[in-house]
Amino acid sequence: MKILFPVAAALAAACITTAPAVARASKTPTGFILKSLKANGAAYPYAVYVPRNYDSSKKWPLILFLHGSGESGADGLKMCQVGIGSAIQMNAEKWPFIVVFPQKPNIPDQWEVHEAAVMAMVAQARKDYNVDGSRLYLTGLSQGGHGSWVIGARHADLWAAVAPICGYGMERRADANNPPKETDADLGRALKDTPVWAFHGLADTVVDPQQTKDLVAAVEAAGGRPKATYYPGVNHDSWDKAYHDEDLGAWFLSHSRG
Amino acid sequence: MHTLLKAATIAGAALALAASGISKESKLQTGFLNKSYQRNGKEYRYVVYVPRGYDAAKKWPAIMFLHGYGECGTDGWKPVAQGIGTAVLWDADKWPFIIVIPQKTIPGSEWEQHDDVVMKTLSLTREQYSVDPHRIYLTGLSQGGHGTWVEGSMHTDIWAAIAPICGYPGAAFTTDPVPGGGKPFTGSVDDLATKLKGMPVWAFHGEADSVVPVQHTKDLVAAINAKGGSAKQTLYPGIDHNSWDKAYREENLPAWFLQHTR
Repeated sequence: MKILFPVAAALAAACITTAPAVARASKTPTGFILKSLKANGAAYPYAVYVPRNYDSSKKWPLILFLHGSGESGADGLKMCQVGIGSAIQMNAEKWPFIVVFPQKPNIPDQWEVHEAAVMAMVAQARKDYNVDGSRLYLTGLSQGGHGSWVIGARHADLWAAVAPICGYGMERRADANNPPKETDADLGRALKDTPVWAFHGLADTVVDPQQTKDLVAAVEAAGGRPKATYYPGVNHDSWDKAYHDEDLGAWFLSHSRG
Repeated sequence: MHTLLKAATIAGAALALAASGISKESKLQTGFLNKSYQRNGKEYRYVVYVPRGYDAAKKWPAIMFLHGYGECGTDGWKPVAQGIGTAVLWDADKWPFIIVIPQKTIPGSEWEQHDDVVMKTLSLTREQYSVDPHRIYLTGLSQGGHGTWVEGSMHTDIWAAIAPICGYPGAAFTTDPVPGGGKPFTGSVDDLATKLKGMPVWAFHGEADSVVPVQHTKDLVAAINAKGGSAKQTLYPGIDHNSWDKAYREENLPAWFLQHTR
């Protein structure tokens, strides 16, 4: 039986020449660790990714990742499968971060509804691990892209950089009886000094890419210099490209609040 | 639209309460955990999934998962991203198992040549966690489907049931040397069937598989059943090589494993 895999030879060669890894037994369990905390009387299951070579004598950068509507729930694990979680599993070497994965308990709520719980998870991770407070990053996709803009703006003094993917502001979800708490201009002003890298698929049929364009323009109007990447022909799942194909981890690390 | 107002109220309440008292993290560490062991100065990385409800006072069923060609390497993590790992991440409540996820370091070799890795990661897991020796299962995809047939036949005293996905009988990847490793399987379908006739088997394959022909699974299942065995197969019409996506999302697969004890 003959099976042809196009990259077989290259991969095989790469594998054989891989140098033996350095042995290092760490006392702190690493991987995708399941956690939970209580906020507002409710239990919030969440997960924290801790890199294999975590060493508590070193300060580690931290990423807060906000998932999309489909990963809402109470299982405490789904949100590790879509977006940054799968990117880490495919290429762990590129993500030397503590990553906090909150889970939003239901689909209808926006992330800001659970802002207190989310911030409590970040605080808890900073107690549980040796986190570098000058290198805290925020990213998310779809509902979590929206969450990145809003929680990014509300805690702009905390984040060294923010990367919202296929997100949206508040204006288009509001009506006359229920004005947005923050306009795009408010979000733009709050984030004018924060390094922002926004992403959107130009063929997104779920969230109009114009939403990202408007928010990026709002940050620019406030004097900020956000970066934006738009993918032609890509629908809502622009997170696959953003987390897998871009050097987002390295971009995060190029920014610190030092 | 009053959801926003409601949202604001809840957020406010959450803030107040969160400030008053946030529960401490549990001491128990569960999830997809990095593991490794040393042999001949080399680090072998693997991952063990421990369910959130894990309790050492209880005996837990365990699954050994063998990945495919593309997840070979030394990073330890890629095998989580294809197959059972994604299924568990997506629907953890359905998988109340300790799951052992080793990584084959050499792509051009077969799993049976790395039998020591499979056995070592299993025995370490049995030392570290409360595993029910009567409920240890084996599954895998593509190269790991082959590995499931062969490792299944090599250790019929361990597995309570096996689920090979898009596998094949004879060794197909033998280009890379495996220093100190075992020999690739050169036996026949009949040899495998003889060993597996007493083993509960659920095999899967895509009927449109362009990488590993579906006939391999049909032949193996037929040979086992011809010897009085109890192999069942699920063949997916129109599905190419990635039949594992469907197989690991089969409603009944976790329950099917649990039906079988040694």
